[in-house]
Amino acid sequence: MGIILALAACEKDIDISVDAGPPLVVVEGYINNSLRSYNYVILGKSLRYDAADFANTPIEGASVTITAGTYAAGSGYTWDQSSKVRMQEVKIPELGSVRVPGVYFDPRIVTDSAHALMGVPGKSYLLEIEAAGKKYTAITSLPQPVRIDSLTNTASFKDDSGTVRARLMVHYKDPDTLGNAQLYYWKNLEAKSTFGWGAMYNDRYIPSTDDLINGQAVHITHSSRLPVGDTMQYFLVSVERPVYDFWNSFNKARINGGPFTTPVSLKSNIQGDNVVGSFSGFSISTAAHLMR
Amino acid sequence: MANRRKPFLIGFWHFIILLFATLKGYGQVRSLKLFISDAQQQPVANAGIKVDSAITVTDMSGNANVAVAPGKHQVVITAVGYEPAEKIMTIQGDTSVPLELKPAQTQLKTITVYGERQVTLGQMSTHIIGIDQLKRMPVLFGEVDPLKTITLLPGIKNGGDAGAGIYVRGGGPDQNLVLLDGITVYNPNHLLGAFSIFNGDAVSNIEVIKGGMPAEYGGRLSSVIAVTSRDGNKDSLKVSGGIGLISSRLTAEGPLVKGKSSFLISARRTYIDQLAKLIAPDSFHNSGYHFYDINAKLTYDINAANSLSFTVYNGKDKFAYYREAESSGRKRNFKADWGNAIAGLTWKQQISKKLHQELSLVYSYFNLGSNVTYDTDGIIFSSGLNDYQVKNDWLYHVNDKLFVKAGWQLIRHEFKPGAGETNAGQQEFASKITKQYGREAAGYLSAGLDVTRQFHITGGLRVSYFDQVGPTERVLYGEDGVPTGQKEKYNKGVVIARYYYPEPRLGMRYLLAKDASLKLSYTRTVQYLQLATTSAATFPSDLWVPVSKLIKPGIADQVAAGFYQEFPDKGYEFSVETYYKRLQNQVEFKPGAQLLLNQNLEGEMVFGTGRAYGIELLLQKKTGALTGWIGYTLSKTERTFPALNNGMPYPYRYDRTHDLSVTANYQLSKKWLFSGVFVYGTGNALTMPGGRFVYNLGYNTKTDEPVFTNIDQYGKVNDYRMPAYHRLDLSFSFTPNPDSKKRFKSNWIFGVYNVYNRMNPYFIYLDVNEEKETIQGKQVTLFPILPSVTWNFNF
Repeated sequence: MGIILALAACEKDIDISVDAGPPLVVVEGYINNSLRSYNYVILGKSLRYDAADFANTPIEGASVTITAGTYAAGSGYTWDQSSKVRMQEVKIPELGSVRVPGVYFDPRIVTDSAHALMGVPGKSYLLEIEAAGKKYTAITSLPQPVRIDSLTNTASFKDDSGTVRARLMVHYKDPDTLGNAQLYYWKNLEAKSTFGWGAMYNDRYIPSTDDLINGQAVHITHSSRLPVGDTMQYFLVSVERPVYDFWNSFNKARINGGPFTTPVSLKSNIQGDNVVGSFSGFSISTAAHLMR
Repeated sequence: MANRRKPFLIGFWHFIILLFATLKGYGQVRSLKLFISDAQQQPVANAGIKVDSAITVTDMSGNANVAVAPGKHQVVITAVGYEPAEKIMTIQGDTSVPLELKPAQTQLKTITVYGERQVTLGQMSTHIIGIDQLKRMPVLFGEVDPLKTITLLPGIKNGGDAGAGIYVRGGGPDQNLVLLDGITVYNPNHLLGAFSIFNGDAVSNIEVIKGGMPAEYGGRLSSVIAVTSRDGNKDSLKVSGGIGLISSRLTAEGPLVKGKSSFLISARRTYIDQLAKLIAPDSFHNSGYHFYDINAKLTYDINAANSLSFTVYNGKDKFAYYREAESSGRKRNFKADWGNAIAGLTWKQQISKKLHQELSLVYSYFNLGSNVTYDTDGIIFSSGLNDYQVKNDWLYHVNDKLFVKAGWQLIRHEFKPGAGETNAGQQEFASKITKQYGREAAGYLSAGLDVTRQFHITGGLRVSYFDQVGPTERVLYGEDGVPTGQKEKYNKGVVIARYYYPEPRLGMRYLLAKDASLKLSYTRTVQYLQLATTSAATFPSDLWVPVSKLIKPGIADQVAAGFYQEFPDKGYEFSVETYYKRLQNQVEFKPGAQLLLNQNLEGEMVFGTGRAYGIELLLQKKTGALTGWIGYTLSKTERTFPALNNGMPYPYRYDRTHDLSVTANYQLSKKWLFSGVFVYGTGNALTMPGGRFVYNLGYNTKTDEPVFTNIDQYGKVNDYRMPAYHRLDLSFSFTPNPDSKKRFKSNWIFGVYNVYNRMNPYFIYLDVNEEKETIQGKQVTLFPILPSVTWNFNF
């Protein structure tokens, strides 16, 4: 097709006016077992497509709580009310101690970080939100983490600016039980100027369920070209299927467009009217690797 | 002694033959066997034969059998691209008559271009276009294309420029039974739909049935598109060919045993890739696209009653894309090749004067292999299917008022929904989606009866059957799409899912006058295979999947009514047809479904219903220096899926309210023929985002700036309309020496596609520039004005 397009195709500007649906409440929540400050909930609103605004439109002053519990087949979820944490828009040091509107943390992150909210593998978590008189809920569970066997890197090479780089490789064995799913995140320990899951490196292009590779040894080369000499903190994130499905749909939705794709809607796991997003339980194994 | 006995023997046999002939003279019916051929003694298939009021058509070998009473009969023969012939015949005994038709274009004033007389034909919603008409149509890059031409008829739509699918009366692109000499073709397209696989040089005619499908056809919901390939010349060796801008063709044909058997082999290859490399060697280095196809046909007349024909097709598309970033050395490579191979052997037997049978053995194969590498990551993907088929059809002419048809078919399907493995880098895994097997069978019985001179009725029943069978092994998934850990294993031949349905078919024709008729039909059709596709362009990554426990067979019910009027003095024929179609068990994929390498493909499907209705007008001018047609369709097509669009009905993507096509051929002189096509259609329906939001937030604490991704928010399904599609194409055919008696003949075809350079939308999108904070709608057009020239020759 590329050739045909190159030979003949042409492009022009046109006016497109579309009917905007009702605005959506957008939820981005995380609960993980490794990084206390990375357990947060971001609340925002959707915009009309033709709106001139391009930043997040936060929902401030909402009531946001997270409660831990357990799940048993037959009896369902049991929530431990004493574990309920009220999340607040606090100023945390990692964000330069500025209040970021619409980003909700466990306030103990600032006051008593050792006891701040932390996910536990095998447990389930209930997110409850009340904003502008409307209620939204979500449940996520943390599976058992999958052990990283080793981290290595590919042979190094020079990029166009002369920097020596290589690609990070992760090796692990998929558990024998079927139904495991992983997400891959890593960050550069030298450059500590970023915060949040959205600012980490991740690999969006690897099929990471074990439907077809159950029990196999997995060796993945991530395509990011990373500077040799830097140390990478790696997070092998095991998730339950609804969380995987959400991020899989997100990775498809972010490359929407063109004749070969169809509209993708996010596979949200939040309950409520006109709401989209996910509450992601991340069960993490972590390791560091010096790029050589 | 011997010499003396011969006259006696001859006399004896004459006596016996005369005796039988005389005895038979007292019976009610005689057999009139007609062999219709052109000037080169090539059989003319699908010629209409009218003996008094009885109507039939010739088979692929140009034979037709009519049961007649002894006495005088008027025989009228009409065929696509030929002069009509009329004869008064006195039939005493069984008679076999060869008849030669004159090609239509030899006479300037009375051109009969295309063929079937809609008024008298018992079958409704049917069009047959012969190769002569196909060759007159202006086409993209000068490639004669039967599939593109039928989309100019009312009720038959394409998806726009390079849209591969054909959409008949609101049906999907997988709902057409595409046949080459009776063999199912699964992917009838080259170049993502810009061309069909049917090479004009090897084609005799194309027939499309969009309603009132006769009982001998089944397995698809919406239409039959039957392409008949040409028999080779039985008397002398002929070579023909054409040299065009992007492709060339060469055909050789001739006798194997003179008068008894013939061969035809026709090959075609595009050279866009070679041209591109010449024009821009750097940018097309290691990238390219080409396709080739080869058609071959062997025919052999064993004796007067038995003949064999063997059809072979093989074609392949090859696509390669290669890019290497100069600085980083990052390599991006995509290679894909895909194609069909089909073969069919047919034995035709005229058992008696009234009884005819055809037995076919058919093999059909489609395969796709692709190889994608991006730097160190790579994946090999392959998919395909194999079909083996036996088919047997019987035709019995009880008398000149009644015929009976019966037959059966068995198909064994083997589906390869996809296998993949990595070949590069370290991402080592191999995965394989389990093969699936299906057994499809059908039997039918139908009869056509002239109840009165005016009233003809055809009724039939087809019973179809499908088994999904083992061996297969599959993981079971829960409703949430999570594998349960349980496996289902089926041994060879074990039935996994079984379906069978009766499919009643009914057609009626009532002659209001000599030149006018009314027709009515009802059909139920059932389909056991679905094409899994999410993209607008039928990309060859599409998979055919069989029905299963979860996927129920598609069912369509269609009623259609029509009125037909001829104006023979003026050469016009007018028809109006209206239809209502209901579709059940339709399949769509969830937005963003994972189609490749997905063991749980069924989990990505949603099920719903559809309906389509419309009115189609067709005015044809069939004779004179100016011929052509105007077709107009007013229609509506909807789908309703509980899981999509909040369960509300939404327009089908190719719902086209207005669809107009005008075609014209004008013989300017013996040397020059002018052709033109104008098309207009309502734009395709499209789902566009109404809103957007930011997601996956992070912060760069150094610059104090957020990082995020913009995600589109979609509302109603197919609520947006692309701009209308319209286009004018012209072509001029120039024959330098039309009266030349020389063996070598040639002509030139000059064409202009999209004469007024209409910027028709191929796709549209919203371009978001986050830095400049602007949003702009963009429209991409595939084919602007495109001239073409082709030189054709034959000797």
